[in-house]
Amino acid sequence: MPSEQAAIVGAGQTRFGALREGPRALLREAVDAAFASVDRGIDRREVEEAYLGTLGFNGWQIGNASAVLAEEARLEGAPVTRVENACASAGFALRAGIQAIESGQRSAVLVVGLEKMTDAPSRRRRYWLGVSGDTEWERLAGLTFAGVYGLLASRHMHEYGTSPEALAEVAVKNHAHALLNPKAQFRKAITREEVLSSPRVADPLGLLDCCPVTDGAAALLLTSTSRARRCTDTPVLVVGSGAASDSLAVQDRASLTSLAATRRAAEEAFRRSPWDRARLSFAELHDCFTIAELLAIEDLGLAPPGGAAAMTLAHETALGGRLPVNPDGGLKAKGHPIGATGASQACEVFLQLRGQAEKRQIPAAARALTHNVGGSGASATVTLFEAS
Amino acid sequence: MAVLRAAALAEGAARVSGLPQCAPDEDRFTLLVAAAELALGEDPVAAAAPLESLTVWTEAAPELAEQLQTALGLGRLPARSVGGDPARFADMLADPSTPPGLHLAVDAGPGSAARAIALWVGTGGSGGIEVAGVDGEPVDPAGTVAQSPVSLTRELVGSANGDGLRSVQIPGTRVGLRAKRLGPFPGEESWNPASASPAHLANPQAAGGEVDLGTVSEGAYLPLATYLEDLPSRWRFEAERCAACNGLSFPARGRCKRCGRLDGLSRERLGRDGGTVEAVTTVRPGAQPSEFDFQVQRSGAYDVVLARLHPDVRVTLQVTDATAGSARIGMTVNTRLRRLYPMEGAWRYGRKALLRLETAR
Repeated sequence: MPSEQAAIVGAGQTRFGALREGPRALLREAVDAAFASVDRGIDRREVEEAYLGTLGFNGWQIGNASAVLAEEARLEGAPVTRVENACASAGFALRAGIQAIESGQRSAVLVVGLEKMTDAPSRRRRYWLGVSGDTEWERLAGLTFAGVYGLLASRHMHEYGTSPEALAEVAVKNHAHALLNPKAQFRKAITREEVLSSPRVADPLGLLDCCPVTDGAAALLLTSTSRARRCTDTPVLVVGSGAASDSLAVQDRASLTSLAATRRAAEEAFRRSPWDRARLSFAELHDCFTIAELLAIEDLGLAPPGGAAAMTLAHETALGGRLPVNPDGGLKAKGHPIGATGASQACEVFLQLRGQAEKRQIPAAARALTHNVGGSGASATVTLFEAS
Repeated sequence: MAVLRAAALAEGAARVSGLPQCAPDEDRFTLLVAAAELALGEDPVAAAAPLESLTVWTEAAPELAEQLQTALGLGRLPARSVGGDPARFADMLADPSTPPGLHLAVDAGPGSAARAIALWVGTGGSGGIEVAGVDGEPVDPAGTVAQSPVSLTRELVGSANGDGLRSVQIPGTRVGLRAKRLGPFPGEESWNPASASPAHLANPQAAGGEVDLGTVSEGAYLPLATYLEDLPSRWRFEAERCAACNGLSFPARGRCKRCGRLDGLSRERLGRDGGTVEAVTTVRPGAQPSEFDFQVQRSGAYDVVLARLHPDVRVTLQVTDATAGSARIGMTVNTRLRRLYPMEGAWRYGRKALLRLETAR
């Protein structure tokens, strides 16, 4: 067991979308919001270490981005480490922050995720959208991530009879949730028919099965639980953390209908947790494509293999359902600024477990899970939280 | 007299989406490889054991012969390009002392399809085409005239499959050739117009040179050195078998994937044909990596499949020569070497899948 337990005492994020602000302004806004959310305040000089999750999309500060966070967060010399695991960058940055506290080495840590994606011509964006895939085999066969998840979706449909309607329902639900989230990129309800008839991108996935290209940043302030009580009466406790890796290319994996990294990360996280899956109030899952949410539900053990579609079609994962998934709109509708997503998921947990999620508040939310995936499953983190 | 123990034809271009188009992923290198694979069969290295040389009948740069050695796994054979003179080619065929060898030729002129041939010239055996030189007056003044090694070979094979004994005249010489079919030979079916690819047009890129190879792709950067590292796996589907644990590793990267050993690994070639499709997607225009923009502008959407080549090996393959959306899980695929995209001043090549449509359920 770790010698200390970590808690989130502050969390903040920018709006997600195609924003006018550049990377520095986004970092500043998210970090300031996180500090402002600490009920009794915390001095910036108390932050002993920081972790920045970012891919450096479009080539922005592809080296040494940490220094920019140190400047914009006014950390006055505290060390900053950049963590890059593609779309799971902030999930792994959060894990690094949790470990720094659990080890007893640090008692206050800042975790930030950032991506600025919309500031380059579309051809250059298409180049960057594929850089985290396997470049030597998958990309040489003409695949980007939409294509890789299209392959996974085709196999899931083949083995389990998963329907296009079930995939569409993931998008419909997450758009409905995003309507209630003022930070979300897409605040527009969509119908199942609109998803099914949207232009095809990588069959069986259409445009409305895919997450958008998004700008945004999110920041979390972590402390030890003993210190947390000085900052707030209602810290959010970290009760489990797991992470795992898998092969870069899907062709090298045993299964095409399950991400082993997600399964292993969940096993590790729940091994330490005082409670199991059945007691979750809600989950923030990595739905970069609609099929990814179904895979996550099954790999996390929230439904049996092949069972996520029925659960989704029965609205059990919608707000008001048995186990709400992605109450903030998810990557699909809140938006997916690659390096920021893992931190933004924890921001939603911070709001929900403190009863501050306003119109999308889940009644009596007490226990939550976040799940962040790098690429098509080359890496994954699972983190478990509990209200204090 | 010489005997053509194997003779195969590969023609460029195919119908895509029901419209006659040039295949943007073919060029003379991929056509030559296709012809040689048809002539040499499933295991070119074993088939070529009795051969003494590899001759490319084109004016091409020397690297073409070298690339062909790599693609076919025939590095042990001395290889050279000797130019496309049909008279010299005819002399080679007519000379009874020509040593056993593999002869490759390609022609691609404006207005005609790109065509490549592969001939296994040797003596003995039961099948094949017997070729004999005829000196003196043209034996058949009304007979056909051949302008290149490829057209000469077409005429020979056509003659041999007809009444069995005719002659072909070489312009500018008094030499003729007579061909006689001895029996079935590898590659024979490729000459049958019914089994050949659908109607095709000239591919202006087939002869090379039309794309600015100096353009460095805006796609994900795959340095030439890294790409070259995996060529035996990429072009010939070579895997590594571990002597200690019997694990099979693909691509071959010098370490057993199962037990981690670096020694005791032997090369094993996976079948290039007969893989089974396990997953399918259709990549629509706009969803392709930007380095495939050139191809998509010419032939539109394409399918990509995950195909199982062996109980322990799956590979990601783009589908070619098929209407997008045709691939199905469970289908069998064959593979061919095709052109991918230019980067660092050279074309990158890899294997693509051909659907065996009759295997659709």
